[in-house]
Amino acid sequence: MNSILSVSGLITQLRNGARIVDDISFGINAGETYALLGESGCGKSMTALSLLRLLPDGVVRAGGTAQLDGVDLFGLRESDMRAGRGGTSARIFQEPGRSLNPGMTVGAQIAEVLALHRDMRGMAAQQRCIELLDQVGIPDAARRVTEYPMQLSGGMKQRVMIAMALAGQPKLLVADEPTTALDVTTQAQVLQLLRDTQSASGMSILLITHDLGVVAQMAHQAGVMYAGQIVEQASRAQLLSRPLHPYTQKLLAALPDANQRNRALAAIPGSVPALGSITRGCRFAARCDQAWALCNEQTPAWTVLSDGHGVRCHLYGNPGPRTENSVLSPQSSVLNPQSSTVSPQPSSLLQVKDLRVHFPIRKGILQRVVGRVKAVDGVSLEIPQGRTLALVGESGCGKTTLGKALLQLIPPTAGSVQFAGHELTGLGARKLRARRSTMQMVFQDPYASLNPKMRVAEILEEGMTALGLHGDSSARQSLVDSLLDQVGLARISKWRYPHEFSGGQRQRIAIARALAVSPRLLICDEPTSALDVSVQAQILNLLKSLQQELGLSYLFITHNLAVVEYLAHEVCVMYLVRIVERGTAEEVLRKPRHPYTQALLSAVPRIDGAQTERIRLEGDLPSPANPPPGCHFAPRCSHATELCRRVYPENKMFSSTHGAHCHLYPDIPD
Amino acid sequence: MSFMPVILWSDALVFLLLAAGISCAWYVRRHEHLLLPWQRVAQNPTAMVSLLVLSLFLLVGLLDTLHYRILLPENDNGQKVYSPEVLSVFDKLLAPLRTHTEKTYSAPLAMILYAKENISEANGLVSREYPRLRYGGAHLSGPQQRDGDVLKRGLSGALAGLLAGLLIALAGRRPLAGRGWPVRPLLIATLIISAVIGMTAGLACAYHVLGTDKVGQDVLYLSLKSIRTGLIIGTVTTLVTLPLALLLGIAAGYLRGWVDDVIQYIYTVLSSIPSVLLIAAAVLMMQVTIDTHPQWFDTSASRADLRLVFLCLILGVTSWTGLCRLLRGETLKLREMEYIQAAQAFGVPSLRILTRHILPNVMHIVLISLVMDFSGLVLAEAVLSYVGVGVDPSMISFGTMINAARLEMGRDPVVWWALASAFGFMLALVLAANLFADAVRDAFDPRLNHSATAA
Repeated sequence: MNSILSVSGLITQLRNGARIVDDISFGINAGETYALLGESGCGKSMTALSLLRLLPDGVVRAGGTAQLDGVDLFGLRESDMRAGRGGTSARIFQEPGRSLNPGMTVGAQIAEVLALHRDMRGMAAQQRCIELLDQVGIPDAARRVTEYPMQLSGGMKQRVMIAMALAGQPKLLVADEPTTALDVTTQAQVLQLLRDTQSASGMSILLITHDLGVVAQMAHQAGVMYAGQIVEQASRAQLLSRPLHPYTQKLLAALPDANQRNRALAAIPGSVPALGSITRGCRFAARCDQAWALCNEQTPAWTVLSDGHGVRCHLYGNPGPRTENSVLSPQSSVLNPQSSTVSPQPSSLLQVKDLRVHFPIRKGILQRVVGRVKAVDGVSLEIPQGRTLALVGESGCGKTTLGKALLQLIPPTAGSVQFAGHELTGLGARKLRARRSTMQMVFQDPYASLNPKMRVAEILEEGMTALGLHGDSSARQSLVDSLLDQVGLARISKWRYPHEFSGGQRQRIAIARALAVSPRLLICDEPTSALDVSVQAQILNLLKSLQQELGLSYLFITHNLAVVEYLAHEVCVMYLVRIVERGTAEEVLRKPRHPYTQALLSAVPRIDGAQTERIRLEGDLPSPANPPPGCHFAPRCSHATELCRRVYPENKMFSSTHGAHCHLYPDIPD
Repeated sequence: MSFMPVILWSDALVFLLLAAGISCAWYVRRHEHLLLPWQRVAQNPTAMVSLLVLSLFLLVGLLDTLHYRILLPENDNGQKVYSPEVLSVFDKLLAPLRTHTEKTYSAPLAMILYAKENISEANGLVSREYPRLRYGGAHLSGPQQRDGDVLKRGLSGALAGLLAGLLIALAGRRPLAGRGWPVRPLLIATLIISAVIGMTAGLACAYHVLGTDKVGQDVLYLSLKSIRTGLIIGTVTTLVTLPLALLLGIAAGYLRGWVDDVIQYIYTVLSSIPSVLLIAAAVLMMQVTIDTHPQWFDTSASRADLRLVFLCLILGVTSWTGLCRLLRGETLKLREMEYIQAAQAFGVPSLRILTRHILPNVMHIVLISLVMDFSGLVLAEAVLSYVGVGVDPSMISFGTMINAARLEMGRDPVVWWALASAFGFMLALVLAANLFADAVRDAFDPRLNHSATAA
């Protein structure tokens, strides 16, 4: 095996000397995938940009060498380098929507690469474009080449990006979080495509990701980055089965799954240190529970164990005063036994019946209604006191709209929402305000959900003031203090502004804000999807312990099935504005009945390698403005029959709790 | 009392603005996140030097805003009678410049008029010569002494100014250095400015530094008086634009629906009318009203002043649309932010959401566009006065100065100094304002801050 890319001692720093990438060395063999794994702010993308010599202003490469296919990258003239980009090395980006020029047809953008690197023009280029689009699995490629990016879905755009990258027949493909912005079924398609392309063309892939599942599926070799350094490097199997560095161990332990249901997740305290803030000692020492004095004093050297497993940690190779606590010990405390065994009184807190949210499509001068977009269509659900209902679905299926309609932020078109026996729909603003305190929401993006111009105390007080709760201002202040205690923030932080907090801390503030009015139900709209894995574990632990302390109910809106397994009691699976399957977490996740649920579950990349047979979903989510007749899933379902295409299936019950809308199962008489 | 303070309409508005400015500054000082961008402004040398120049202009304008009428010696049956002439503190300080009027044009630092006159001598002969000025260089016995005297007075004035500047700089240095302000550029600027002021003051005692105009008024005095007019146009106009733009822009963006439609129609229509046409029509209508109601005004100054205030009003009415459109767009973006939805989930009333959540988050746009608009308005005044629909002809402004000077441009030898000094002063004012505006925009732009902190 010859290595196609070898990097040694790469250092990239800001002009003020703070190192973003600090002394990184790795190699990629021909036809293999090397994964750079790490949380945000660890310098993964900067490593890739350094290799392509596309660093932003103010960031410079300060040392190190890199050889791509025998050519010294940093010795090249810029003009030669330009020929290399897209030619010998190509790059695909995280956000497919932003990396295609909206004003050029797909074909023209691919043809540009062909003209530059393959000197191919005219009909030949056109022909090659269609071949490439065919190759990346875009149906009806001859028509698609003349289309604009806005006519394609997110997954299609990423395929086009891959086609563009392949156009130059690169030896190395740099894929920077290629699937992070995509849904899980689309992610599975794109990852499969990358694997297929790799085995067909023999190119190498430098895969940058934060997702251990993606690493488990894609990588041959993997390097774990932390604060600008590679702290561990090994083959996939070694890394996942026997992680050496405490950070990697923690990262693996922080992944939520069903086995940990009754335990707190092993969250890593704190967050990634600021760039260049640590110059001496191990960068992870502050968050490591196995650190000892040496870790803070001396930077650990790179140690390669006999099996080729490399690690940067004093625990290995250093014969120093190694204490016994270095033995792997899962520190996760066992939470109180869940109430899942003791069935609570089945009085339901929230009852939703046949909820519909339709948005009118208006046209013409008189703004007449010519059609309706059904964002939520006939959804019914129930949440009992103290339980968690997870609402699972891909983007665009209407789950966020449903959450907002429950809160009456979007007025429902029809149906009823009953909270503790009180009807919420159709209430006037004043009557609604009296019920506002019972139900609150935690939003997805902690950076957008806190007003940057208000201090934490003001943010927390806002709800109490608006709803006239908790007496006078001194009583409110003491409540603010206790709320901050509850979510694990220092009391002093109430005088600070949101920008001084990290993403995880901001999400804690957002949770505290919702708790300020003592709600009984929290609607959590993807509260951890903008956070890193280790921070996600912190927030999930917090939510779980709050549920036990306060008896809260959660409606947990998410696309992350691992989180569902960890947190949810009941699960509803939503596909294109309707719920297709519901049941307890155990039933839905272990014995999925609906073909969509089965596909969804099989698309989740698992790190344990226990990969079930993948069910490939073809195509994309249809437009809710024009849903297919009959079963919405029929056009993508491999089991679909003529009946499915005509009639929307009734709910079939498999047990008292488990049901699915599918024609595959015979009617079971009650 | 030997004088009676007079508060003209524009004075009242300036005081209002000043009070608003001071209270804003006080509020900002107590809020760290608001103070932060201003601290970035304070660390920018260009911004601080521009601010120094701007504050000198501001000082002149403020001194010129304190108006009064002096008590006349004769009294009318025991009733106190005040002079019909409204003066300002600034006029009092520059009394020699104001009162030393010549017959007609004279060049800068000249001691003779710019036009020949018939002079009858003692022996009855009439000769055509350049007569000596009444005040400019009157202390000299002959033209050959002038250059030496100018040099001497200029140098001694500059030295005195430099000395004063040094004292100010030494006093100001310590408090400034501790805050990371750019001390050295400020020091140099202070020294240069004080030397220039000292030199001008030294020369102005005996000469007309920038010459005189057609009726013999000192051009330096006229230029300095124009500053107040320019500043008022640039700032008071915002009093009109701001409420309109803020209220309508935010309401349109947040409430959407028919409110949005109506407001959009209004500003689209308004911005499609040529603004000069609208202003001309409004000013002429107002002029007729003023002319037919002489009993409203007890002095000519108050009449001219009302016209100025009206001009600000009209300029304001025609210039709020740009800011309004910006604010509507920003509010459209903000209303989808999750913290707004969180507030809605608490049942926070719309008015409170607008004032607590949206208003503070669009203030940076308001601030940037106000500072940027300022220089445009100063220039607009000059253009409008030139066209003849600007301020009252009796009011001294850059526009009226330029308008008066334009006819003399065709004259040979050319009378250049009136135009040149109006040009120079306006350039200094607008350039300082623009540089300052640039620094403010940079300091408030979140994207630029990112790269500044990262680099």
